[in-house]
Amino acid sequence: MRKLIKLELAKNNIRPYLLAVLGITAAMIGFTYFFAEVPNMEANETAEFGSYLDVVLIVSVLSMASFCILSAVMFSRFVIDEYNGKRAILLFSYPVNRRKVLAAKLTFVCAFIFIGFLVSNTVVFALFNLTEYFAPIVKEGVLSDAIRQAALLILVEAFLAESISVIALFLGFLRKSVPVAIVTAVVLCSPVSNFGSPMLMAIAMAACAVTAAVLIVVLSGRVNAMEA
Amino acid sequence: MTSIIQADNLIKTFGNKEVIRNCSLSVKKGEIYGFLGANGAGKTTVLKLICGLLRPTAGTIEVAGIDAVQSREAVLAKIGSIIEVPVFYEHLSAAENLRIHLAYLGLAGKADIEDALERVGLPNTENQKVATFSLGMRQRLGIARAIIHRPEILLLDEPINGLDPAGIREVRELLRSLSRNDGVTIMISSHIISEIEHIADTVGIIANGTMMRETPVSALHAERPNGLEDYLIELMSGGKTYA
Repeated sequence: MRKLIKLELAKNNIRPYLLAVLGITAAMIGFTYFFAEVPNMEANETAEFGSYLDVVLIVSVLSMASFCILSAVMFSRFVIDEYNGKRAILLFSYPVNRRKVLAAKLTFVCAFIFIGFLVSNTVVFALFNLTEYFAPIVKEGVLSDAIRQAALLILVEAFLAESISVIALFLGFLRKSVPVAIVTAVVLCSPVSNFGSPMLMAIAMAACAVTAAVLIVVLSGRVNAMEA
Repeated sequence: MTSIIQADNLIKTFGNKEVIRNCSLSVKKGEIYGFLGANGAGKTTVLKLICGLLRPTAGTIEVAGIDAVQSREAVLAKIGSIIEVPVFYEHLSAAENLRIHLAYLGLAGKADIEDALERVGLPNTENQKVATFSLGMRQRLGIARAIIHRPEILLLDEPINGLDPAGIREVRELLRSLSRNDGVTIMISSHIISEIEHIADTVGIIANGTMMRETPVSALHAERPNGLEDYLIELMSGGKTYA
C-alpha cells in the first residue's frame, strides 16, 4: 500500500494543493482577527462573536468548508479523472488489485486533507493565542479549557471534512463529473456550517462518517467491476 | 506451436447491441498475429477483452493457460499493451513515465529506460516532458512502455497511427526483432492491409464482430499469388466467410 501511495505522489503534482493550503491558512488568519474585532467595532456590547470559542467556531467552520472544496478538487483529479476514459485504460492495464489502487488514492487524499486541516488550524489559532497573550482582543481572554474545547472541535471538523468530501466524491464519480463533486461538497457544507454547536457538529460527523464508509465500500466494488 | 491466446465463442454486448458475435481466435506462441478489420469492426473490443478491460458477455479467453476473466491480474502481468491512443502523465518526463510504469509492475530499477527509448527511436528524450511530444513521439513512447518490462505478449492496437513512413518501418523492424530474437508473441491490430501483410505470420480478419477467417499469411499468398488486397477487402467488409 505504501508503494502505491508513493506512486500517487509521483504521478501527481501536489504543489498547487500545498499552495491552496497556504492560501486557506493566510485567509483564516485574516478572518480570525476580523471576527475577534467585530464586537469591538459595534456599539452594541452583546455582539455575536464575543468569546474565544465563538471566534474559533466560525473560523474553523470556514476553514472546514474550504478544505472540503479542496478535497473535492483533489478527489476529482486523483479519482474521477483517473477512472474516466483513456486514463482508466492505463490504470487498469497494471497487474495490481484495483481495490488497492483506489484505497491508495483515497488514503493519500484523506491524509493530505486531514493533516493539512489540522496543521492549518493549529497555525492560525496558535498565532492568535500568542497575540492574545500580549495584546488581547477577545474580552474574557484565552482560557486553557477553551483551548481544549477548540482542539476537540477542530478534530471533529477534520473528520467531518473528510466524510463530506468522500460523499461528494461518490456522487461525482457516479456522474463522472468534477463539478458535481465540488457542488456536492459545497451543498453539504452549507447546513453543517450553520449548526453553530460543537455537539450538533459531532452528530453530523458521525452520520457523515458512517455514510462515507458505506460509500467507500460501494465505490470499491464499482471500480473493481468497471469496464474501460 | 501451442496457442498462447485462445478465445472461444466470444460475445460482447453493450446495452442491446452485440458488438462481438461468436468470435474465436487462436494466437500461437512467438508469432506475430495480424488482426485486420475495418474501423468499428471490433478489433479494439477484442483486445480489451483479452487484457481484462472488458468482461465478455459469453465465451472464454485463456492467456498462457490462464483464464483471463477469473485471473485478470495474472494475465496482465504477462502483457504489454497499447490500447487506443496511449495516455501519459503530461507534466512528467518520458523517463519518469516509464519509471512509474515499472513501479506499478513491481520492476522499479530493473529495466533499462535509456535502452527502451533508444529502441523505439527516442534517444536523448529521457528528460523531455511528455507534454512537448509530437503524436508520433507519443506513439513511440507508448511502444517503449509496452515493451520495457519484457512481456511475453504484446497487444498493440493500431500502433503505427501517427508515425511517418520511416517510423513505420522502424517499428516493423522492432516488432520483428522482438518476435524472432526475444520470442515475444505479438498481436497487432490494424485496418491497413499492407501493414499486416508485411509483418504478420498469421492474419485474423474480423468484420462486424465476427471472425471471418484466420490463417497463416503464407497460406494466403499461396492461395492468391496475384495479390491479397481484393480478397482481404471483401472479407473486411463482411463478405463471404471462409473456414
